[in-house]
Amino acid sequence: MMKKNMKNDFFRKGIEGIRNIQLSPEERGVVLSRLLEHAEKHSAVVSPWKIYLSRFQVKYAIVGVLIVLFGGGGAASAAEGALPGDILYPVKIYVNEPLRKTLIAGDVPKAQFEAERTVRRLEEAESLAAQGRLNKASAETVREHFEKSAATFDSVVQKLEAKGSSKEAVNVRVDFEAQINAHSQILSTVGSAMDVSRDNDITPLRDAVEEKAQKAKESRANAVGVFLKDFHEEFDGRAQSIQAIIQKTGDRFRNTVSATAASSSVQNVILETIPQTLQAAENALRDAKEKQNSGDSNEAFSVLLDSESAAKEADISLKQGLKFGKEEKEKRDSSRRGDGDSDREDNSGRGGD
Amino acid sequence: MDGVLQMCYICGAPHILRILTRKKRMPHASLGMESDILKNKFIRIYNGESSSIFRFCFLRTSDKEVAIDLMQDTFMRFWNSLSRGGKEIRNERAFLFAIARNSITDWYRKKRTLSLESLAENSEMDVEAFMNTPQKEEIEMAHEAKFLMEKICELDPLYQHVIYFRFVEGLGPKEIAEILGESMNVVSVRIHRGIKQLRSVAGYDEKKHEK
Repeated sequence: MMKKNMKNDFFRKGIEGIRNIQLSPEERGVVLSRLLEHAEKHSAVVSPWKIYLSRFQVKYAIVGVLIVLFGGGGAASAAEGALPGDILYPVKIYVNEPLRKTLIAGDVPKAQFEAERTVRRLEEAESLAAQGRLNKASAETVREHFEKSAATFDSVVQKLEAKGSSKEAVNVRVDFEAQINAHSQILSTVGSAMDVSRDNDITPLRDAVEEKAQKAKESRANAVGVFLKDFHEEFDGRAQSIQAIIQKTGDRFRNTVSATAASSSVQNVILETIPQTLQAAENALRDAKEKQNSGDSNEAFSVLLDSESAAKEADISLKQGLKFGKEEKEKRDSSRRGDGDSDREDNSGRGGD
Repeated sequence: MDGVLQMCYICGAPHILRILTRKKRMPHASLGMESDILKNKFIRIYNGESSSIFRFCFLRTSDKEVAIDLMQDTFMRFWNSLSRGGKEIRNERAFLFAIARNSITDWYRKKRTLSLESLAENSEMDVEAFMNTPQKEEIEMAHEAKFLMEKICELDPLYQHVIYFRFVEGLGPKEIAEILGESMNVVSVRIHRGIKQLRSVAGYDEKKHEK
């Protein structure tokens, strides 16, 4: 009766409009962080009787996880390791990161923070993949946050460039490009190795990262074109530091990777790309030096930055490849332990019968 | 019975901690677990209800900053009740709205600089009404939403809350009764009369228009 009486478009739109009055996720996150601080200071006091009585309830099954989440430093610090789908992930995204951002002063640190934030999303996707938890839904969450952070990074760097901070802006862009390239490569490998099904489709994320990698390269090239004159003096020093990165990454690769077997085909593919990327960095470095010697210093510097980006990309791929293998191994060990425990329980159950 | 009297280091009081237990158990670990479960529950409720509580506070105060403070205050009081234990909270949503309503009343009382006499005479009616302060910070509202809110504000204060809770927040008469501290019958009658009045003031009554 009531609904019938109120069936009026204008009324319905009015209700919807009122319901649209909301705080932004960031604002809600800030209030939640204050509330969790309050909760930490005013912890629950519960009778041990109550604990005893509820000891057998199912909810205690999650207690182990919660101890890890809330133990030592409260929810905010526990949220730092949260991944998409975890209960504390919104605290990480909407509380911790905006709070950290507010504490950063200066355009360059802000741009570096946004770059780090963007890359963090991709590292989360890789961790999920290593743990076998990456699926369409979690990939979509990562993609949304990745695109948002990447857009913020661009606008911060553009502001930096508009102010004339050329060197800093180019350096931030080179680092960002190297990071995105490395992670794009890893996600591509991860995506190819996943079972093709509707629930496992991470193509939108992979495409978004590939597109961003391409744009990052173009943006860096354009920025360098404008500010080339600022870099002429530092060619030699920069070339030396690139050579050092190539050398160091190559040594680390030979020492660590050759000594241990890859934990999976995905890790194997990630690590296989490293010698090629290092070779590309070396070739570009050689080209850059030749161009510099022949007097084409503008082109030399542009190629030098290609080399730097490739060298850093190899370094990041190595770190992430090793991390991926470690997380995969931990996941396998924990499932094996779980199977072992359940086997033991089964056996003891049968023995009891 | 193998009960042992020990001092609980959380509350300092002596408790018999090992009654009917086979192994020695550490009370502090269990207390920590209980607290963590409460926090988990609190975050879940906050994520579900914070928008509604903010909206309610904002529409009552017309000031975004004040509404955020009141929302925060509401959830702090809610946490205090949750963590103290005692009486079980059966309907968290209704309980939160009831706290928010009290917080708003307190805020109005603090805000008023009227004499005690006039406060006693007028405060109840003022506090009952929606948006009775000039808009301080504008949050963008669609034309239809503004119109409807204005019309709700024109209703008899007795009906404003029930209409808001019923149609905007989608609460049932039982929940509204819990928030307002009235019986379900009273709430049902107010909803019925409120709709009638709203149809009249807002022109939602099509039959009337046809005439």
